[in-house]
Amino acid sequence: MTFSAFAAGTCDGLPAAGYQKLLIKKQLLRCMRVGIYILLLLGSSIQLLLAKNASGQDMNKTALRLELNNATLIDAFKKIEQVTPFTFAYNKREISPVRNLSLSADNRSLRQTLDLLLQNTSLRYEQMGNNIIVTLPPATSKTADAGRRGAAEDTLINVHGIISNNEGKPVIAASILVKGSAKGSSTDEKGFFEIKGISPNAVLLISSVGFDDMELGVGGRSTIDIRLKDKSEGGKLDEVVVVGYGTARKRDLTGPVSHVGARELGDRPVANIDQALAAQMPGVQVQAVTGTPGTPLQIRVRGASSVSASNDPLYIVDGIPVDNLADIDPGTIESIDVLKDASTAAIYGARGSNGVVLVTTRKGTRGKPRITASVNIGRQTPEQLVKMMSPQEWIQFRKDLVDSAWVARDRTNNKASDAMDMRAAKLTSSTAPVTNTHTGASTAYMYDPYWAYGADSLDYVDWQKVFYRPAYQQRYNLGVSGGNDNTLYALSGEFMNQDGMVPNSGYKRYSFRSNIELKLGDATKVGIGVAPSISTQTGTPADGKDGVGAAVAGTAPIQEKGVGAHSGTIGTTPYRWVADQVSPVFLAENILNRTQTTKLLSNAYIETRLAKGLNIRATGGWNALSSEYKNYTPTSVSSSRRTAAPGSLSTATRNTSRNQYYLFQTVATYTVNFRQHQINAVAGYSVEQNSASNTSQRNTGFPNDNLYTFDQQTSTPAISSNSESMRRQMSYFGRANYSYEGKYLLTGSFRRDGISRFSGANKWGFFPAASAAWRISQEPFMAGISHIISDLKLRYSWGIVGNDRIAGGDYPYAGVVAGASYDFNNNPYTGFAISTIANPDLRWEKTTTNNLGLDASLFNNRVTLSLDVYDKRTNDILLAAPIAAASGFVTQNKNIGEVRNYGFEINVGTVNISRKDFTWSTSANFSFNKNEVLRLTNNNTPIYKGFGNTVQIGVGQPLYSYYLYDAIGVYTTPDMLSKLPKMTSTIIGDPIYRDVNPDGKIDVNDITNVGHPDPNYIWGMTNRFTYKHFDLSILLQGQWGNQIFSLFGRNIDRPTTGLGNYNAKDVWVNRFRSVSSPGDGKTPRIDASTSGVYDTRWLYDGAFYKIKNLLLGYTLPQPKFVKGLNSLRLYFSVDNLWMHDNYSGGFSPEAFQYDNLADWSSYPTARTFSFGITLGL
Amino acid sequence: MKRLIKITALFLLVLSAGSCKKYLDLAPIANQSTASFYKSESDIDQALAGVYNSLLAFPDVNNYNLSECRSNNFYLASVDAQRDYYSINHFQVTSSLAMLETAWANDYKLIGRANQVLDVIDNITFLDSTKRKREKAEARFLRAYSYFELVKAFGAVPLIQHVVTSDEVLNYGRVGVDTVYNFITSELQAAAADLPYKYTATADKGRVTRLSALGMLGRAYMFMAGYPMNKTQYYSNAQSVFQQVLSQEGTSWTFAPAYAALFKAANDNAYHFFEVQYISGGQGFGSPIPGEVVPTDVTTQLMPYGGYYISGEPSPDLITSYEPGDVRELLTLDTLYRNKSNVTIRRSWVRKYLDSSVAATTKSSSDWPVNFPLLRSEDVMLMYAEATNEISGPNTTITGILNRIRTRAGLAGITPPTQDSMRVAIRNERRHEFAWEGIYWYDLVRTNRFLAVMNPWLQANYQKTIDQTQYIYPIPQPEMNIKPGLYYPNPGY
Repeated sequence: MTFSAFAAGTCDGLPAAGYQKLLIKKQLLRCMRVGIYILLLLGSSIQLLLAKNASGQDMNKTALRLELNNATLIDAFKKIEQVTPFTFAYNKREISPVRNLSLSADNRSLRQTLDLLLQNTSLRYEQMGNNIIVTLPPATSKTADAGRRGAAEDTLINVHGIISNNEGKPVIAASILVKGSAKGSSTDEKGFFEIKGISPNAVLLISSVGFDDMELGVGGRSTIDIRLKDKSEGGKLDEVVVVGYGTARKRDLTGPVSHVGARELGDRPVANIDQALAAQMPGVQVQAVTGTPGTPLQIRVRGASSVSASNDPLYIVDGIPVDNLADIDPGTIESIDVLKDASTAAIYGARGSNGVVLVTTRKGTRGKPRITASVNIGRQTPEQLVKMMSPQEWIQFRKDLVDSAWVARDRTNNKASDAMDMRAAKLTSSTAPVTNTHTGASTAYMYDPYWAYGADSLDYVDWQKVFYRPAYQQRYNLGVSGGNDNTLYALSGEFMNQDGMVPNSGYKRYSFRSNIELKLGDATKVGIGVAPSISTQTGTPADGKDGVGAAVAGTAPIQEKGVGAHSGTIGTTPYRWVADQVSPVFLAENILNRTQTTKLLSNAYIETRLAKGLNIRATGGWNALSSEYKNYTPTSVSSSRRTAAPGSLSTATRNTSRNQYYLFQTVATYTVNFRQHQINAVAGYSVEQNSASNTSQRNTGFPNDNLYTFDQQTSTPAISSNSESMRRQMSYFGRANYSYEGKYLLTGSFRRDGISRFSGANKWGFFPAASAAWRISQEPFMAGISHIISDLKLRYSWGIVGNDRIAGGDYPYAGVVAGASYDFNNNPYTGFAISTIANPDLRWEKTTTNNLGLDASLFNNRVTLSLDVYDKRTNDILLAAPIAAASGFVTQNKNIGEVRNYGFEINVGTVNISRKDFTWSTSANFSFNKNEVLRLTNNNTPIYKGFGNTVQIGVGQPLYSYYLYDAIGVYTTPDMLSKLPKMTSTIIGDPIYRDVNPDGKIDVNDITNVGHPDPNYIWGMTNRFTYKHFDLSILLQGQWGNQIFSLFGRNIDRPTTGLGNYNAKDVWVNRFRSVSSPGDGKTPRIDASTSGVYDTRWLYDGAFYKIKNLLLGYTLPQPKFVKGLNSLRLYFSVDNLWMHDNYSGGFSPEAFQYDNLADWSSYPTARTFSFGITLGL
Repeated sequence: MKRLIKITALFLLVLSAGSCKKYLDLAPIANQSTASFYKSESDIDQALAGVYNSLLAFPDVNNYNLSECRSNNFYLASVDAQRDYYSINHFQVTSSLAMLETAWANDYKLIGRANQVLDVIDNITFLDSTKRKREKAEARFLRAYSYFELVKAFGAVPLIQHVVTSDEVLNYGRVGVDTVYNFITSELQAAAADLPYKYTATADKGRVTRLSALGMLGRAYMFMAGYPMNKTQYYSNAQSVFQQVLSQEGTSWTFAPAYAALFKAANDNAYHFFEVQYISGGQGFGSPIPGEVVPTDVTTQLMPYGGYYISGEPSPDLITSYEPGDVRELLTLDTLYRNKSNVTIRRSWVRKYLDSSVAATTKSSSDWPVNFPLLRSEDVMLMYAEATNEISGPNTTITGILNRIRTRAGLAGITPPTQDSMRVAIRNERRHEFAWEGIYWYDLVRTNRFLAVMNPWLQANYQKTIDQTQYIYPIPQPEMNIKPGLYYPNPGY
């Protein structure tokens, strides 16, 4: 008989369960009372009943070999605790009289063992999860009957006790709630609690952060000492991880899933969730490709397998897919799980090939309302800047340019040593006098006389320093959660304001989340999760090719006296020796650039039990996003600002976009246990639709710069467009898990996906997976070494997953006719032409993974170890591939071939020191990944990508390989020039390229494979220390084995357009000047003839290791100074504290925009010092 | 039990809602797809405008970068630029140069669009079948023009006359230069037959005419007669088609009274035989040329949005080659300009396309409404003179033509007595008449003078010389990469 059956039976005649909370509560209270009463009657069936309702290990199936010789019961329990996952809760006084126990060394189940131990006592035990509660039943309960129901309530008792963890230390601020009532208490700093006036038959609900929840019958006792089980240590294997459409205990997993729980998430005060993932999981690379506040990080699971637009994993928040993890309050996250291989991700079918990131938000738990409030204040400074020439160095550089121009002007008569007065005299003509003065000199051929006086006469500007300023950030969180038997709730709100280091930039976010679950009767529950957010991202884009970042580094470091950082603006005198370029500081201050995004992530579900073990859940998800982008670029930053009328050259842009995503999904789960067999099955169906629309408007030519809004009367429309697109998906999926004695585990799953992105039969894909695991440690022959190897599991998995995310929007297969208008005799004439070439054969990208894994816990869980080896083959990879332009088109969306990623991952956790006052634990992960192109459909012809075709996709090489000339030095002597291979146009001072095909000349055939952007090795390591109330954690992170091609580096590190008008990298101090002044042998002459040539001078080592985060915290136990305060935590944290790298092509080897295959300059990442307080009420 | 039924019903409902097969059949919302377009006469009209649309990019890429910048009309001091036109001007071109791929892809884009129209046009019902013939002729002219540009720049190229898939195109290797020219000339002949000498409706002006087709056909014959084919017999073909064009003067075209009138927005489609139609308004249909050839900081009165390239100027060689009194010099270039701070700067620049009367209508530096001439009457006149001189030496007709152009330029008439002196006179006239129009470099190649002219100039300015291979460009590397061996490389690269 199940609880639901009899509860429903006894409640017959009561009003049907309504939506009114009070009514339900009242009704349940009555049911409860009746239920308890019947429980008592049922006597011995209680144990069975509770055991069935609890989700712990089966005592019948937990085997152990316990040998006792005259031992006490307490000793026996301790021994059992060591070899099983169970812990005992008991009152020492009650069980200490039980002594002189002896048992033979036979193999018994835990239940048999306990029955033997307790056979001569009146003690009884109950299983609650993995807790076994041992109690001495009160005498009254033995004679309880229906007539005495009132009597039990009449004799109310007071209960007190101590709650401790499994090391015997008191648990502070644990919540104790009397089940079915509002009564409750919490523990003090000694773990002591007291509750007055409760029924002797009451059931206590005990919960505390970091411990498993526990339910315990009072059983008439007045003293109850309780030991809670620590979630983070012994409980690791019982940690529940989220898998597709369900959850699983870690011990039951058959595939590789990485889990980050509340503890790891709590370690760092992060602004966005993805930051908390950095360096936490093996095989998961998290990169801050930009420091732009509010921009999501880049996540790669087990390398890049795709060349299409997206290598991003699929993100799922509470079961609903989302585009990215932006605008989600990290404070609301309970856990993050990453499904890394095909067997785990296959249930997400067509979207699983880049891994799946499952985010689970906090839900309410039963108990008193728990309020948490936190504040975090931080200060950001740039982590690293680029080394440019100093003003003095730049002056020397500029002098050299002036001299060479002077000599070039008249090679026979002019010399570099000619005095300025003499040059002025030679240059003067009747129409244009030239004098040797600051205002009268020729900037092309003469020095500025002020150069001699340096900063006395001119302003020296360190642009990066004045542009990237220290910025502050603040975050406030308030959350409350709690619940009772029929309502669980978690509500939270957040405000965050992060100023950017770029002037006038920042990210501001208001976000809320509410998760509510209601029980409608005992078989059905409904829930709703709603998370609205409003975020505003402000600031001139500093990232990438068109960002202001490159201008900041490259602006000339010298300006007119008194002008400084506002050079080039109206009213200032232009410094004549440099470009009259508007100051990037002024630009950032005066351009309005703001995106406001309103998002709503929501889901609602109803779940009901249809039969024993069979549940069905229908979910509806609705994600809505609308964003508005505003830009106003005033005339004062345009190139004609000095003469144009205010407003006349201004432009204003307004873009809006709207995205509506719906999901309907029904999932049935079925669980059945018979004897040693456990079967768990999931089957479901879902439909999804995403519709997007956007509009774009731009007006130019304003009457003034007073307003950023516009109409067609006062300014001219330049762009007015809108577009729409839609995609749909339909899926069937299922999974079955089978477990035999918890020892042999099998999982099989499938998904059939149909998506509107492809045409005809190519719409549908089938994605199967299978996996198996063997928990060797459960075998009897392992029992002898269970104190060394407490858990050992071997697992193997196989599966196929897909990827449909190719650039080309929602219709990548279609040939599209787009506007191509013309005008005849100034009469506009609408024209159309095919803009993309169709490919009806376009189909899914499919990845097949084989994964072999081993999980082990050693030395009583002091060491946990996880090892995975995988081989991942992606077929039909999607690419907007170059095609012969003679077809009329330059690219076509195609399936181009096959790529393999293989490697291994290790995750190790150790408890190094575990003393009363001092603990030290370490968790480390290391992964190795290598990728290789196996096959290309076009007869294995290499495909070129990247800026200037600098990246090759070729068989036998990593997916992306840089193909560049290999610069190995500079021709510094005529001898070198005559003897070494060279290009036809090469002259002295040019870079020497390696003659790869040794034919004695340098040409396109010498462009060679010089590296790849994927790191082969990534690692992360966290060390946590606690000393009394202090805790310290240090997160280290690193990678190596990759190269970075930097076009930003190239921009500031080559004789570029307008040389001399701008600043360049400091390497140019050591350039080749002449045979007698050859420089460092690596830096060519200023005017090296290498235009249009890409070489390894701009290829950098991508390796780094860094202290990603350091956090020092202090937790005040039960602060007394404020009434009602349960906990108080103070912490100090530093992000990006220190880094070692050899990267000089940009701000950081992390801030490398990978999908563009080169670093185009970025918003520098921040070193953030922050301080925070968290209060528990 | 009721609940169970409800839930089951819900489950089934959701299941059935999606099992409709059409659910996943979505066509693009914001665009028409290839399958649904090309159905009616007006679709063809619009598709033909789409072919013309490809021309918008031609002047910048083909006429300016690949042609004018290649010659000694263009001078670029060595330290101050690393753009593609620098490599072109300094003869440092490799097959990786991005401009080459741009040119190749643009030319074939036009060809692909024209093929699309020509493949379907015969299946479409037209109210007026002469209109169908005319539109077909327009598409054939434009396709032939694009092949002409390709063969001039790259030599032998793949010849594709129908819509091809990305796989089919791999069956088309390079065909010989003469095959390409034969295709061009036969297409232009056919097009000429179906095109009117001029359009009566103003809204049709700007479409290609029989004058465009015959003039272009004659130009193609001139190239066949010149280097590298050297089939001098084509001079007479050229002569006869040019004669047809010239005989239409007064009926179908007029000779502009003043050189200054030729490059004004107000005179769009008034004098030239074939122009790229530009219009300002910030919609992407404006000309980039004026902004491309002026200094970035030129005064706002001339260029409200400034120039967008920094370097490259008319070479001293060009400047000094003008005869005193040639009005074309100052209408083409200048050696001083006022910058945005109103300071006079001594630097040469091109003012040819700068029509300050329309400066105010521009919305960016590449939004000029001035059309760009791809074929001028003066070009036909001088080519006629040249062909005639090559066939039979000077006569009064061609001397008359020469002096008509010289007189308009403010110069005294001359009478070159010999074939050689007439050659020199015509060449000089052509250089000055067509400077910065993308004519001069190909004149140097066609007349096989490019080594004789360029080498002394390159030696003096850039301390280098070139060889015979430099008359064409290499096949762009990205194209060579698609299917190695499909296109053989040009020698010297």
